[in-house]
Amino acid sequence: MNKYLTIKEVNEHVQELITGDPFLNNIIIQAEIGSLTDRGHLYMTLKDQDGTSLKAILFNGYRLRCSYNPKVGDEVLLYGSLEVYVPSGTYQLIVRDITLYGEGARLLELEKLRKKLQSEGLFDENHKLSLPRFPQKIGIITAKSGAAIHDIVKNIIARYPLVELKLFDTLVQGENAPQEINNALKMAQMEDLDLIILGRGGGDKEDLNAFNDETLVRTIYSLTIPLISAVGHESDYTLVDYVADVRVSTPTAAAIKATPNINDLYIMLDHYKMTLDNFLKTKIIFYQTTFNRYLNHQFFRNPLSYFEGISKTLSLYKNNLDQDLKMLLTEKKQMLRNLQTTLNHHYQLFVETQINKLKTLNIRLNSLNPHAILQKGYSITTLENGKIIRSNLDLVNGQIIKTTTMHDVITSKVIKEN
Amino acid sequence: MENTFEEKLKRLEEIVNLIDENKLGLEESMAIYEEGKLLINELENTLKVASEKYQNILDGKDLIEKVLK
Repeated sequence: MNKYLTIKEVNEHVQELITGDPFLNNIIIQAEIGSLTDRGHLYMTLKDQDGTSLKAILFNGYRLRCSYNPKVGDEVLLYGSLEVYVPSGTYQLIVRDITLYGEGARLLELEKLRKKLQSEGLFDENHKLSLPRFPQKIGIITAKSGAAIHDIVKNIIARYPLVELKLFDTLVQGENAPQEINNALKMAQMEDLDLIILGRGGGDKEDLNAFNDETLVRTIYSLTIPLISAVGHESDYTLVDYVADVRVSTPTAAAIKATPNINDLYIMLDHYKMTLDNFLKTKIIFYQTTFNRYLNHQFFRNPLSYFEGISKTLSLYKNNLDQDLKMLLTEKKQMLRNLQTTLNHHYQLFVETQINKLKTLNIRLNSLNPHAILQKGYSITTLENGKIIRSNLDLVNGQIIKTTTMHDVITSKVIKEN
Repeated sequence: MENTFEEKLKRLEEIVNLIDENKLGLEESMAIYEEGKLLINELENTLKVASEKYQNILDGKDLIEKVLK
């Protein structure tokens, strides 16, 4: 194996280093175009003020997407990445976008303004108004002499001739355009409009500046009438496009968004016509069928047999009812009898128990009666107030006492011996 | 005041919804049928008259002047 490197190996190594460097993959360079060769692809030499230079290529595919056409001597901003050309060991800038230096700065300013307005909520989807289905009066803000007005009016009238149109003639480009459009919007807001179309025909990118005006954007945000913006191109968005309730890229598209199509309406009305006819037909057939069903009912065809049938059903019900009632009565009677037997049994048991209790009580009571001892020959002596004399100490001389025996009461006088 | 095109169309759509619900009796059905047919005729007529009004000037150079107020 050769211990020395080939040039190709060196160049390829440098290529790997450069393409692998994320910084060099997305760079923006400010420079002057020193020279250029146009072969479909644009080959340029870029230079700084001190003469330092760099090769650059703008391939045709990217070139077609740029709105700026580079010229020698222009101060430009270039966006792209560095790549190494291995066969010659040179590196160059592969340009993906190029703008005039001033234009680039303006675009940066515009992006700053867009972000500011966005953060304030001016482009919020939930603030956007929905367009009316059938507008009665549409205001068109554009130049009366411009290309847009004809496309808008012609398409609206062809689509939906019921609508009334009102033009607010304004400048759409130049220094005074924002102020004029702003005034037109304020006038339109005071009219009884259902919709506003802000339109503009073709033109280059520079001409769209009027529609990036901050005051204008804020006025559109404050409108209570929905607004369609038709000022830009397919690829160029202005700030007015962002704040508009609906954004389209051409005046014709604005007319289509703004109005229903008369042909669709005719088709819809035809469809409704059919729906109505079918509805009534179906309804009538339904009632006729129902009516026929009633006419064919047994009641109308043979009323007598109908009533016989009902009569039979009724007597069947009556028989069933009688039988049910009888069974029910028998059942209830038996239940009553059973209850009576149970009751009698319980009553007898209760009475016997009570008699026995009384007998026991009587015996106990007799054993406790004090008069029972009199029958055995004992007597009880009391004072006149009935208090039983239990000791000599209870007595005083001459006191009357009573002695009760089994048969009578003996009254005595106390003679106390000293 | 005469109802607008949109108001009439809205009423027609209400009628179609009522039909879809299928809850109407015969008399109501007939009344609503009559009303619907009348509305359709009026709406078609309005569209026709408006179309004819602009038919001749649609391709003319003075369209803008004739249409705009």
